[in-house]
Amino acid sequence: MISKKIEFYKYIYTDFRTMTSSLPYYNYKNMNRDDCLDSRLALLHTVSPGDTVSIVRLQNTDDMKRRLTDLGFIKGTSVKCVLKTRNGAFAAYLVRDTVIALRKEDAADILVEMLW
Amino acid sequence: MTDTFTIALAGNPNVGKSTVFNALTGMRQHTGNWPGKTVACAKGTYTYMDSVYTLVDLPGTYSLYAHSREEEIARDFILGGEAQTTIVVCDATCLERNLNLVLQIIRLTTRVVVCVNLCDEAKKKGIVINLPLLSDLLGVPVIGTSATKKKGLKDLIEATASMISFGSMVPCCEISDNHLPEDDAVNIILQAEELTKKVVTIKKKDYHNKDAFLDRLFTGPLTGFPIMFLLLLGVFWLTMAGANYPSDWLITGFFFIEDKLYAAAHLINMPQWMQGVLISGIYHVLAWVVSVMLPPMAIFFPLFTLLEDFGYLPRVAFNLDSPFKRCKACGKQSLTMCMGLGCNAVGVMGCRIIDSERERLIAILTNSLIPCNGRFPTLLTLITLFFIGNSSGVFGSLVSAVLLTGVLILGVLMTLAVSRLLSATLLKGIPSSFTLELPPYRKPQIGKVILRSIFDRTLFVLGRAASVAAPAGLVIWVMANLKIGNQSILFYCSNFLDPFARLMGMDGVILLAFILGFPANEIVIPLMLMAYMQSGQLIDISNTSELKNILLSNGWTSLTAISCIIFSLFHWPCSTTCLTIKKETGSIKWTLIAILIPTLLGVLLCMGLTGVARVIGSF
Repeated sequence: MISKKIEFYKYIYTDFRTMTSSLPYYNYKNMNRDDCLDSRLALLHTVSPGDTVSIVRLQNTDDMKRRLTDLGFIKGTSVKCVLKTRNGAFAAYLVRDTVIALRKEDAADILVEMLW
Repeated sequence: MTDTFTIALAGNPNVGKSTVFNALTGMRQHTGNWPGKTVACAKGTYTYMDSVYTLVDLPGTYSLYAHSREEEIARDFILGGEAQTTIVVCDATCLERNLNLVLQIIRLTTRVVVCVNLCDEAKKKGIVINLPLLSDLLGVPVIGTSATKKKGLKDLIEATASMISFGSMVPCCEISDNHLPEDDAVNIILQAEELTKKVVTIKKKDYHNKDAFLDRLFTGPLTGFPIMFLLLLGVFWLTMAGANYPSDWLITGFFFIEDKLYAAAHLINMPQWMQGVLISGIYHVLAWVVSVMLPPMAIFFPLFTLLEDFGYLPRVAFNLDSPFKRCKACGKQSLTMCMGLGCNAVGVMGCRIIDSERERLIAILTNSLIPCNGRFPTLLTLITLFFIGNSSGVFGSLVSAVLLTGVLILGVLMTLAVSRLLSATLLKGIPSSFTLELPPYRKPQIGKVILRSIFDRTLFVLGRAASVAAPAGLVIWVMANLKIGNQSILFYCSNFLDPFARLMGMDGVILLAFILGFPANEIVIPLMLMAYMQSGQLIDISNTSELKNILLSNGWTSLTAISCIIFSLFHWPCSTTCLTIKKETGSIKWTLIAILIPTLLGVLLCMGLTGVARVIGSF
């Protein structure tokens, strides 16, 4: 009975993933289901230059999380994307009056809330 | 009796710790506008009220608890009890992030003096900091300084002295564990945020605008790379165009002196062999090294330092991250690469800024693929002699600058290729995460930069080259004049190397010069010339065009010159670099690999090129 229930949820979840992953702008890979439902949430690497967002959660590996925390990336901090390379692989963010550049992979682990 | 105290100088990267250090101790620790410039702990002393204070310049850290090497060094030093007081240097323009470290250090030790540096810059940006209030809130003395203009340093010295004699006002909360719990780290940041809100008022809101514009220009998808090449080209062009005339003057001057020296030697009846050793041996090589190296370095170093102080290097790293990522290396490798342009040993040491062990090794192993300043004169001379022809003046120097830029780009491409190869074979792994700070642009202090880079860097490199050149000149002279049977030792050695060198499009003498140039790459060309001149008759070189005649008469062709340029770009690192690699990696194996990679690359490239050229030539 229980396993059936799990199957059911799995089904819904995968269905949801396939449905949303076709959306062009957001990358939902690192977001869980609840996050996906909130249209205001996104991952940091999808933010375009000039936009300001607020950090919701760091999902990086422990080492990187530590480093980001030391730089002032914590929950509620507002982050502005200031630069992005053409292919979007590297981008610079203004955090607490300092410009910090992050690779796409690292920025993709940071869940942010759009401020509009 | 004088007392001696030790003071640690801590702070975030790139807040001007080294500038404060220099201003206090009167030393000339090199500074630059990019995080991670100081990788080793420098020590210096100053005296105040009959006491001697030893100041230790710690590497910059964002926090005391992360796992990188510099942070460990800084934490161990502050906690080790060796330092009586810690001066924490802060950047007034981004106080909030700096306060994070201040609060962390205050948790560990109460003997802290906070130095808010770059006050003048903050003032310009419309940032006002209430220092007395900050001091009250933190419970430690807070001194505003602007170290480049030497303001507030006296107050800092006084505050430090009284901190040592009277101790601190706040009780210390002991932390036994080295690891700060996560919540605490967040709490400290929140606390820093609170503090900042209370003490900092920003009058002009949009002070990031100018920097943002420059950043868009320097890293923009359309403008970033062209500007990078143009800047590089510009620096080389200025170096070449500017160095031409002083070089010629120096050569003329030195050979005028040489004639006088011979005359003087005749006058005091100096024996012939001694004249040979001292004048055509030692003096000749020294004169060459000085006259060829001094002018380009005296131009290149200041220009490069200006770019560095301005804050351009981190933008280069930003631009070049994509290719490095594709090669599974760290984007910060471009910073160490730029350092290698000055001196490979410095570049290798600078690799400490890369956190991941694997990526640091890649950066160390590939560093010597970038031509250092010692190799520039060789490249410069060969390019000028063989590829510019008779067109001198502005056009000629522009062409040679383009060629030199091409050579450098070849070095960068090889760096990328070898990095890729290493991460596919010896150093397998995926690119790790890293953060790169893009510091605000700062106006370099032009006069000071020029003075410092000439006196500290240029003369230092020159001194090193000269101290190696003198004995090397002696060795060459002895080899050329000591005979076994009918032939000199030099002849035997170069003949032994000749078949192999021919395969690479060079000759035995060139290879021998490269081998003898192991202590310092600067002396390769002078050694070559000496060897040629000793084996034939002595030719008086009064200007650079006669140089070409010497080379041509010894069978040089354009192909020889190209092979030489390639081999000069890719061959074993100099002895200093090798020692630094050994020190940094702590293993002989990696040092050997670091020697082997560029050597193999050079040998193969030269052989390939020569082979192709000969096949084409035979048709």
